[in-house]
Amino acid sequence: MLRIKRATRLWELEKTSKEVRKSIFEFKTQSGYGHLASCLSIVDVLVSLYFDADSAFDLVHDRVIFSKGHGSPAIYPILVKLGHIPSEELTKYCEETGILRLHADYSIPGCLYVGGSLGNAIGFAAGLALARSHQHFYVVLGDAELQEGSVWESLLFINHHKLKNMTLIVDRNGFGITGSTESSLKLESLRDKFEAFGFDTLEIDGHNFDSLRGVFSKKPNSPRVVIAQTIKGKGVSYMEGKYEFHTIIPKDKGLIQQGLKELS
Amino acid sequence: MNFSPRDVFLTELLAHAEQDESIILMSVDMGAPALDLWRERIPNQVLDMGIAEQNAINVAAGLSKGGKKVFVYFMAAWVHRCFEQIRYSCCIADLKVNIIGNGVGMGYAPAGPAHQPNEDIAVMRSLLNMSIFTGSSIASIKSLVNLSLNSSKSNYLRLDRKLFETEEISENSVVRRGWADEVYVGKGQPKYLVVSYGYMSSRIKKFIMTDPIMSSEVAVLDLIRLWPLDLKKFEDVFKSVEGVLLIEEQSASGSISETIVSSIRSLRHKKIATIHLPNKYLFDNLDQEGILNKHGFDKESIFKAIESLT
Repeated sequence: MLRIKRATRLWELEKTSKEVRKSIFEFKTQSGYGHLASCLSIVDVLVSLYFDADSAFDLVHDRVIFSKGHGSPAIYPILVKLGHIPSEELTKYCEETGILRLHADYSIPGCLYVGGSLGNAIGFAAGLALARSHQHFYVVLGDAELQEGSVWESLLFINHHKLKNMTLIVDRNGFGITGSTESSLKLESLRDKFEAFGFDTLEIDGHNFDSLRGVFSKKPNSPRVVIAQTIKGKGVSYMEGKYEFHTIIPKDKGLIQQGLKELS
Repeated sequence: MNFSPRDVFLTELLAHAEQDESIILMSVDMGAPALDLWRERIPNQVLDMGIAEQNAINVAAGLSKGGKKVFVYFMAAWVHRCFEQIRYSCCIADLKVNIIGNGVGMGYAPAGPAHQPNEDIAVMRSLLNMSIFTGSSIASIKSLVNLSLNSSKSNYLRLDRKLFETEEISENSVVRRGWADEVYVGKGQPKYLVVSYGYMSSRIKKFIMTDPIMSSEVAVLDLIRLWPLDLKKFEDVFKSVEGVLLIEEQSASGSISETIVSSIRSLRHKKIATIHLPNKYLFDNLDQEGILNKHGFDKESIFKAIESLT
């Protein structure tokens, strides 16, 4: 368990990120199941949290909880690297004999909640944070998920109780299933909204390890939101910023080869 | 009998909570004299959740995961509002959360159909990993505390706004079965059985026990555990009677009577009658008794239904 060596240099984190993305691309294209582009956008944030030597994320006690459950398979290669699950499980993703599912759930070692219904894990994490003040909970929210009203109920609660052992990370890739969030149901100015709800709000480039280090190297003294500006489908040129790939996984051999090449 | 079921329950729970700091009570836009006692005596174990049912259930699930014994207290009518969170964060996540639904049936009738949970049992019994309990006396309401603390899954605890005024029934007349109380004041074996629960049950007990003829032939099976049904236990109780009347303050579409009647073999050879609320939302400008009397729950109609079993 927890047999990783954390990285001190940024290029090492970039290398790890590529490995994680490639692994996700492989098991997603092999199975044909899930939300590949939504997983790829959050990888650098996760790698920074788990693998940066400067990260304040406590590998023993702290937890990442996916509220955007469709992006949660992004954590599977990381759980393999941490020793929570054997690597062969990745080849059995969504297969009858495997333990890894389209949405991560509590039956998977290293996972606490159940994925698939948006707008709920933030409240669940708030309850956990209240019950276990010695742990820090990092909640990954999708940006389109913020259209769920329950999220805003939870924000009121978190701020009211000043749950400083929570960090909310918004994967701001800009798209939901039908297009940009701003064309479906406007979210901006997100920063103003979170600040109005009483949160310390930081906006960063979610693919820049230096910026991510700057944020995640310290634990906050008050409830915090990190808006990570990300690219949907990050790392695969033909998927980047294309909402059409929200649920579509490349099946064409040429596209798969291209994707693998770009992630290698 | 002049008491509020929620105060009986919350006071009993308070006694446990004072000994066990892992017990947490979450109030969602609800007050109660007993809640004031919690706030006074153990304020750190009370959470005011505001008017936010969805978040309350999710937070409750998180607290449960964190090792707390959680009770969420709100109007029963709002279980529909956070149904997704109950299903997702409690039932699918297999986390134990106790949901106290106050004001079931027509308890808040004058407030209109939004406040009349006449389908709540149907809604909650559709969920896996969920049990439903209720009570119609101080003893049975108090028993819900231990039942919920000792269970391993989530519970929906249905509490009436008030109970029907009734004389104290002698302990000798009550057979406490755990899942139900059977009340009978006659001699020998009862010929007929009336099955009900909550306010309706307290009302029927009053009607029957104060009538010399009815009380000599009719027993009341006052259900505490409403779901899941233990059909074997019903089978045993039904064996010795000639006919059964099932009365529920629920719409027919949401009742448990149909399941009982269709599942119990011995009932196929017995006379059966049922009384439910109509399958429609009620816009009557009446209080609880007014609505019940209008829709076939008056004493005369109930006695006629019992007589139809002969």
